[in-house]
Amino acid sequence: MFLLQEMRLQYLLILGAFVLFGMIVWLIKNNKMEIKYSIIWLGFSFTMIVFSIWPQLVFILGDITRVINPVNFVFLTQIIFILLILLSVSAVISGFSKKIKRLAQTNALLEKRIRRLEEKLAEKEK
Amino acid sequence: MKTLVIIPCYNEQENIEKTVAALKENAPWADYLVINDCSTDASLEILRQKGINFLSNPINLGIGATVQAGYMYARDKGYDIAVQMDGDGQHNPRYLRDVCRPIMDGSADMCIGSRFINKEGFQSSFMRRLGINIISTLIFVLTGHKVKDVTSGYRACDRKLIEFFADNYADDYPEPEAIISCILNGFTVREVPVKMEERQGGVSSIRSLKSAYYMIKVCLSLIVHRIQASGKAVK
Repeated sequence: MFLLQEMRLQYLLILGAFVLFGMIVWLIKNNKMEIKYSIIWLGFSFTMIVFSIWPQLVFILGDITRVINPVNFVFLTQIIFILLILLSVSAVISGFSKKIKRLAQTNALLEKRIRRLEEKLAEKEK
Repeated sequence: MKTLVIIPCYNEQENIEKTVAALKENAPWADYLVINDCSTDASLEILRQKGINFLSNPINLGIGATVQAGYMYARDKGYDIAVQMDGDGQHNPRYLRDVCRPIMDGSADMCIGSRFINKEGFQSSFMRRLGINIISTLIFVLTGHKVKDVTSGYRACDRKLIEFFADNYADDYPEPEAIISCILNGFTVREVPVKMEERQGGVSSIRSLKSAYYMIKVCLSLIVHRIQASGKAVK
């Protein structure tokens, strides 16, 4: 009975891991995600695939870290990956906001120069 | 010396024209630049119609990035002195020369117009003063320099600082951060007494709901500035 439940969980994990992998590949293939941002996701899905098709690894690692239920070790790994991804997203956003700020500032300065040029041109035409 | 007065403007339709007129009257020797931070009221229309010299941000950037655009302009146009002045009528242009004097005679790189030296004019609320005291004390602890009016937006700086600020300026609530990064980068900061008016209309950028966030953000970034500076010193 216990084994059967473990088996079902394993199938579910295999399915989930491959769906995740498939989604990531689809995003990369259709240029919806840049390679540099996909690396950590690929690492995530690769780890999940390894865990699901080779659960003995989870049992061993769970034993070493004294995690009570092996599946908790899977959750722990997932949480760590999610935290890493979230942190990297915050860092990436900070970089973007700096760049957007610079763009807007130079845009404002350029707009002023164009406005001045147009005024000068209008004066000349008179 | 070529002087530029930078006036950030966000939803100041009631004040901006008066502010610019008072500046032209009291300090005709200085150029000015109003920077409209994507106001949602009629500020931009007023700036256009009254022939006021202005920049206009395409998106709302916040006070820090708005003022920074002014420093970029001052850098590109070769100004020797840049003065920040609020667009809401709080800062009287009669004190412009007082604020600029330490820069003109070279005794300071940055000069802040402080309402707490002679304790004249509008002194702002008790809570606000408490916050200012905390930030001021924190800057003293971190740098050993005492600056009283750390949130004053009435400040002049020289050519070296114009170039520095054009590249480095905080985004939101930038006034205390600008002071500490000046001190830590070896610039001299001075204060001169000014009398400030109570703001004449519009909404201050620091509202009561945001004040907790303000204090946390400012204190944290001051400490980060200190850590970054000591990291540089070790290298």
